Amino acid sequence: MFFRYGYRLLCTLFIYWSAAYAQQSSVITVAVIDFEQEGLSQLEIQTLTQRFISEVENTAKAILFDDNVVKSQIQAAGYELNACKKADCVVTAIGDSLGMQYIITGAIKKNDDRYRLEAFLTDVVTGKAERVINTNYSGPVDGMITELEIMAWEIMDQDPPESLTSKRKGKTKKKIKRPNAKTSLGALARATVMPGWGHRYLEQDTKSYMFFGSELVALTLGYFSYIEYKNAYEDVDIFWAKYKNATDHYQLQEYRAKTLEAEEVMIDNNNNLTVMFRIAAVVHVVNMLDAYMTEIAPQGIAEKARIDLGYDPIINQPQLRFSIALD
Amino acid sequence: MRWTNTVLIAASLLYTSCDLIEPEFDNPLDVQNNEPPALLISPEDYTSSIGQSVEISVYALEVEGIAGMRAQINYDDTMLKILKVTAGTFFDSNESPLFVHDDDGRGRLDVYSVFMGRDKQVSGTGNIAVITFQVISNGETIVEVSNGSQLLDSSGNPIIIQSYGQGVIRAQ
Repeated sequence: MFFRYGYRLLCTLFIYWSAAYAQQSSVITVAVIDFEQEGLSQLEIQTLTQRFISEVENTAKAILFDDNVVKSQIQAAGYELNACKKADCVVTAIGDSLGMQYIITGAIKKNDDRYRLEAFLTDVVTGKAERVINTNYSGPVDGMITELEIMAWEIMDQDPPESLTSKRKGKTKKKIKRPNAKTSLGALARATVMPGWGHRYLEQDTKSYMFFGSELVALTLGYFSYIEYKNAYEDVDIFWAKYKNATDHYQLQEYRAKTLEAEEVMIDNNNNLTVMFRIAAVVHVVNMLDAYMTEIAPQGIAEKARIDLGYDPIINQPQLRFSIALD
Repeated sequence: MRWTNTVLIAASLLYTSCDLIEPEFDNPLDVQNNEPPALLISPEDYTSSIGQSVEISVYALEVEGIAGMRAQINYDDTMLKILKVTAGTFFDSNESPLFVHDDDGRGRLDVYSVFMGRDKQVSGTGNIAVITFQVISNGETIVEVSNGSQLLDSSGNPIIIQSYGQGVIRAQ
């Protein structure tokens, strides 16, 4: 009995270990949703979407989710397939119940010989777009298809092969955005508002705590010095007034000594608070510069990969999926 | 712009400092300001206005074995008029000293305080007279203890006075 439980425990641990290992894989699970169209027929858009899917498979960076499973799940959630092609609708319909990590949605719009191609890679869990590519192309149709195939590589964060780029035709204008990508300016803005926040944003927790702690300590010590300074300042004021009004020789000497003593404390604490505030200012500026100058390593999508439990509505069974990259 | 503002604020912290009081120990009764024995006026500064009265106290500073004194006070009779002169507390004793004053009407006041008999004397610092002036015109005027003042011991011998004080009345 004990060994049976132990065996199960080992299996569970193995699954979690596999999951952890799989998280380091550079392969992600993706479902490609039929693109929206404008100026194109349904058949044309399905064909173009299939070309895009084929090229995504060629990148070897994606495990493509079964198209039928996704469609049936969308329909099961009460949505029309043709009306649910945008990322927010698909994410609402399927959520992360199927265990996939990302969906790719897009659109192809045609106006004479001008085309606008859009592709969005969206994190199913957060619902946020990880990568957005917009391409404006004008030229022959086969050139548009080439651009679509190139987009498949770019949406997977891969450089397109030369065999594709050499086929390029017409004129192309492209924008690739990473809405959630971390930037130096983002780090600087955060570091400016609060010390350490910029490093926290860059996931450098040690530096974050160091800067925040250093500035907090400096400001706290500066504040305590200010309190001491303020008290001493009031003492100087009081004893000096008493000295000026005193007529007794002994009182004069006493108030003079007390005034001098309080004055010394006042000056010392003023110096302390000046030094502490200067340290705080220097720490803050260094924190900002360091946050701004810290090199941001580009984070591959696959590094965020997860292993999830999913539910397959076709076979009516839960699924635990993990993958091992062969690259 | 937000971060540039913060840089400026942080930079301004570099120059942060608080006000400091720099006390001046200028009490005339402080032996570090006037060499004793001395006849002084304390405090030294007065502010008043026309028609108002000003009380000025004359002090003996760190005197030893004094049985009598004459404080000669010079003042500007075009600006001040003496209303009253009263004895201070320094010569207080069971037997009141002889205390008289004489205003010549031309800006000189003599104040005398003398113990009758040879066995009485005082030492230390104390108020010997309070003079009440009335301000009769605007301006700034000096009231000073002149070097015609005298301190005498119980044998009638003069004691050298090292410092003579003065006060300033500002009438607005």
